[in-house]
Amino acid sequence: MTARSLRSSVVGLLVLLLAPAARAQAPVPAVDATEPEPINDSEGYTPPPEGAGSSLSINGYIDVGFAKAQGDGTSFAPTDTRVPLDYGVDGFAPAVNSRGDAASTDPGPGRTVNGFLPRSAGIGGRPSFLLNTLDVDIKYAVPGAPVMFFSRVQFLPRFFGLGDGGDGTRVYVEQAFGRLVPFDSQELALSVGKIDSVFGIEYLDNQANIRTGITPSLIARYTTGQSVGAKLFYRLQIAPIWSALSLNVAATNSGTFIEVLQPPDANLTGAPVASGRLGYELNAPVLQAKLGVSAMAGPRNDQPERSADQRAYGADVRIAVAGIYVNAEYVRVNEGQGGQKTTSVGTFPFASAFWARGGYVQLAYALALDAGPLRKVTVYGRYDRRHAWFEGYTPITVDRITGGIRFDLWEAVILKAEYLDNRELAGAPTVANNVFTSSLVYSW
Amino acid sequence: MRLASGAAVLLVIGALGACDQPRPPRPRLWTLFDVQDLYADGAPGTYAVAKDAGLPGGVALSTMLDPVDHTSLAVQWGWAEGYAVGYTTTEVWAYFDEVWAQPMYVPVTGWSGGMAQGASEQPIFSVGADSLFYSPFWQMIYVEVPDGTATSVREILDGKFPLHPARGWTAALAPADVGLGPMSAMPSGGAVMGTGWFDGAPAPFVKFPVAPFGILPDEVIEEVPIFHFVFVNDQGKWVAPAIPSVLGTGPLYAHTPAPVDTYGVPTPQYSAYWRVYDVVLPSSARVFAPDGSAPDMALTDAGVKVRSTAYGTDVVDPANAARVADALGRVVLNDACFGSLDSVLPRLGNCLYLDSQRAIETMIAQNAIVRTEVTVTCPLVNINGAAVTP
Repeated sequence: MTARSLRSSVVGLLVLLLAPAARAQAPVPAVDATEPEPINDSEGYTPPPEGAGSSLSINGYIDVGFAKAQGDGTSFAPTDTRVPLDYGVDGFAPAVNSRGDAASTDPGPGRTVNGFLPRSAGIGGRPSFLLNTLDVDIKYAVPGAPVMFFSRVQFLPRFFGLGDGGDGTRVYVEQAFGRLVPFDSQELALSVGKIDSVFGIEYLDNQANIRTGITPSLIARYTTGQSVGAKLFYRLQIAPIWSALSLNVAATNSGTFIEVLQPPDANLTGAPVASGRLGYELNAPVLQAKLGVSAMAGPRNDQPERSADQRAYGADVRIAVAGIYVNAEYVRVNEGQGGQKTTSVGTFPFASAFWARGGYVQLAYALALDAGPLRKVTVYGRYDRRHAWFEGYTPITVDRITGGIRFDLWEAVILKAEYLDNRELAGAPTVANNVFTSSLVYSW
Repeated sequence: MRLASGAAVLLVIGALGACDQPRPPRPRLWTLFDVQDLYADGAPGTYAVAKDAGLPGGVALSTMLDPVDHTSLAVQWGWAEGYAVGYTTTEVWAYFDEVWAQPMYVPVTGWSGGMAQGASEQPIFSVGADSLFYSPFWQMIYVEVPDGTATSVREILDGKFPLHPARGWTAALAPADVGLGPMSAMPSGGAVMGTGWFDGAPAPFVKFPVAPFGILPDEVIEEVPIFHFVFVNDQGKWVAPAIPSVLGTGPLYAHTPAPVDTYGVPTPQYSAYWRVYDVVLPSSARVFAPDGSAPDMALTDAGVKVRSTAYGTDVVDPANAARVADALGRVVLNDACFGSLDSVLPRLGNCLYLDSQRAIETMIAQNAIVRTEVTVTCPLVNINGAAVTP
């Protein structure tokens, strides 16, 4: 990062820092007391457990960001002319927000990509404010019935970027489902609709108001996607040893890949994708530990052939002790070759055979405070590593070191800032694609 | 609850068991590696690939690699602007709308006056033959780096070495033992074996010297038609016998001039990337294929009963075999001209042969020229009886 761009980033951060202070005189909206900390082995972050009070609740958040990426905001080397360009680099590396949007995915004129890219914030290498997400959650618990309905609609203002130009804003239904809890005596829930992933643990942190840091890991693209289908959650408490076992299984259109890679809203093969996680949790007085193994299998939903299968296997661990939180996850992904590729952003020539192995370790320390509006300060760091290759294409190995700080103000405002040091270790050309990003989240 | 669960299970099973909707065909690519693998698995030379893509019978392995030694490039016979040509087939694509040129880096010791100095014999390829994005059509880029210093694209790009984009280059990645065989059916040349680099590992290839191809925007390779003759047999089925095909010069009906030198003599500078078109012949069509000739046997093998009865006695006189050899395998719509030796001779007689793109476009109805989903790499190794030189 150059001195000039760093100055721009600092100015932007200061603006974000001042914003909540300016608003401090305004009345703070009431916060839903049931808004949870991310709790692994629940059915997922959303929705929170039914609480007392109104059967209808409306919650949400606004995520405003400021980010600056190096270079042109992509991971493409200027002189790289291979076809497709996105096979030989990690286009997800320069992420700027909790949705994993890259600063840019523009390959430039005359260069071809094949649909292995994230959504784009369209800011290129220029420092820019972003309205990352306006989220509206509506929950309705049917009085006197073990049934609850939930919808999460997100407004995503975007710009296509210089050159292409134009408004790329989307209104996105991220979740919409009904949940039945048939037995009062059992932690058993059946959800049908557009639901959260059940693979691993990172999907629990998808939302900006929940995630410790800002950007998702380098493997989040495989594990954190929502999809349409059904899932069943069951948890068995073993109280004498402060433990519980849980099983979370789902059958959906697209499995757990994110929507930009595999469209979740229609089944392109006619066969569902199965996924699940088996978890163990220890809730001792001074130590909480959660372990899990996950798997996914079925036809890949970015092409029409049932014989083009995808498999993913993963393991995860979360430990919390004395204000220190450790999260780690590892995943292996195998995808067979399929027919013409179709994703949420268009059609592409082929769904190439693909393999990936990767994981991350995140360490966070949260210090609770009572200093005016400041309630908590969290410092965190994460190490990501990813090795992946398309058939016949150069395998690439990349890693990322992320460091950041988070301030929780009152109960409704979160300010986060982080720096992503992206490194191309093998295969991919070395590019300047580090990112400074920040996020101001208002929950309501 | 139990009833509802059972109903849901039945619903899912019923849905999965319902009639499956037809799916678009999967794009397929066969390289020389695949052909050797098929042979190694016991496939005979008559085994064909790309059988369901519009070309009746598909592309036989024996038209790519010799069915006996599995290493010699097969040389096929065709017509280009009425001249006999020989060509090899190194790749077959099915259901590809387009293929792409990929960068290929050639280390040079220097650059002077717009010319490369000390070009390496070991190019650095950017894509492997296993990728569906592979093609043997490379955008050659000279890179000023000492030979052997870089063996991968990453090293080239990270090194920030001076790059000089140049012309296209046709080089099929191939098993190390593949090349033109010593016993080719006709004088053949131009195919040079070599070894380059891909991702730091040796990458054998067969390079062809003269096969200019157009590179369209987004690195798409311009395709040119190659015409295969198709007969309709007694059962109404399309059959493509192994008679010479016709190499085109440009897009259909574009009347693209043929590549000739300054004296108007045909050169081998035809495209190497072809889209196969079926030319569905009317029942009157006949092949110049006297009894016992190679095209006669090809027609017999294919079960095509279109034997001409119009041959004059001097035409089938063994003493004149050499004179009529150049007419063997040529197709006419009216075989009355087969009655005299003078008429039969190509370019000299009055037989109207379908031996050029212009002749086909002129004499065959447009709806009988049918685009297939098959494209091929077919560089020329012989032009008008002479071997192509490297």
